[in-house]
Amino acid sequence: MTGGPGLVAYLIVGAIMFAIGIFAVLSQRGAVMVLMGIEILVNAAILNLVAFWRFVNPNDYGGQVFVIVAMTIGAVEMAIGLAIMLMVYRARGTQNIDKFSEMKE
Amino acid sequence: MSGMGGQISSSGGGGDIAGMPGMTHTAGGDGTTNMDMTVASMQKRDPKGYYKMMEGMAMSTGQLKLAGIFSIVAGLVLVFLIVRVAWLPKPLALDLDGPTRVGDLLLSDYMMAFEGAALLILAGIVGAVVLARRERKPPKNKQQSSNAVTNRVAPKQTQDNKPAFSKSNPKNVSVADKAVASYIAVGSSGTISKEVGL
Repeated sequence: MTGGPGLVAYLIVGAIMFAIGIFAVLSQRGAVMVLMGIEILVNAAILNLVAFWRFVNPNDYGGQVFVIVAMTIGAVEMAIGLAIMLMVYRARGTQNIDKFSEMKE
Repeated sequence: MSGMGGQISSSGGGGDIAGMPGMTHTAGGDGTTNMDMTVASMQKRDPKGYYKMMEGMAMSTGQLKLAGIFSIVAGLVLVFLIVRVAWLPKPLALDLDGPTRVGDLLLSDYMMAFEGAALLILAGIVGAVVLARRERKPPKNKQQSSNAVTNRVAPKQTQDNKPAFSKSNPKNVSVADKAVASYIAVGSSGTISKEVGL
């Protein structure tokens, strides 16, 4: 059980996922794509949690409980986000986030 | 959609041996249709407008380059910070009945977090359903009470019902009026003619 890649590999994968999520959130125009980017961000954080649990204190399974709660929060956030986007799509007839700019003016 | 159909039919009728009707719009020649020609002419005449149109149709925002640069820089900074730190090189030993202990912890030490997560899921589901359903009910009441056409939820019913009520009744009334008027006129003229004849 002591083989395999080290902690740095997991953290670098998490950092790359974080960068991909930031890119998706900042660059995409569809609201659903932005939500997917947010989900990638959440999953990057969760991957870091698992990696730190495994490499720092693996015999305290509270880390896994923490990860389960974080995944739950991510799922709920996704459901709420999709519901909001559904409502906005019904109200506006578009999911283009460039059209949702009333608060800017 | 009509342009696509025309493209397929025209390339099929033009005797394109290589087939692939979807690919002919890049090759030009026989496969070009109105849509492709308009796009090509637009590209030639007004390249700026063409690119603006394509940018408007794209999935990404106008800040694509900035977002890419920013995300790459953020990823590099994170990787740099990660690599700088001297982490523990090897994973520690792990006892193997993890799921059992996770379950025990979920129901003993972290029971409040577990229940809180459950409550959060419940609130999230209720909130999602309420958010997704709220738009649906008021137009149904509005349909019967007022004439406001929101045409979001059920535009067909309102658009079918309203003309049926607004147009058919005057039509029927007018047709009936005309019939009665013509009958009266015919009858009266008949009687008049009869009277004249008599």
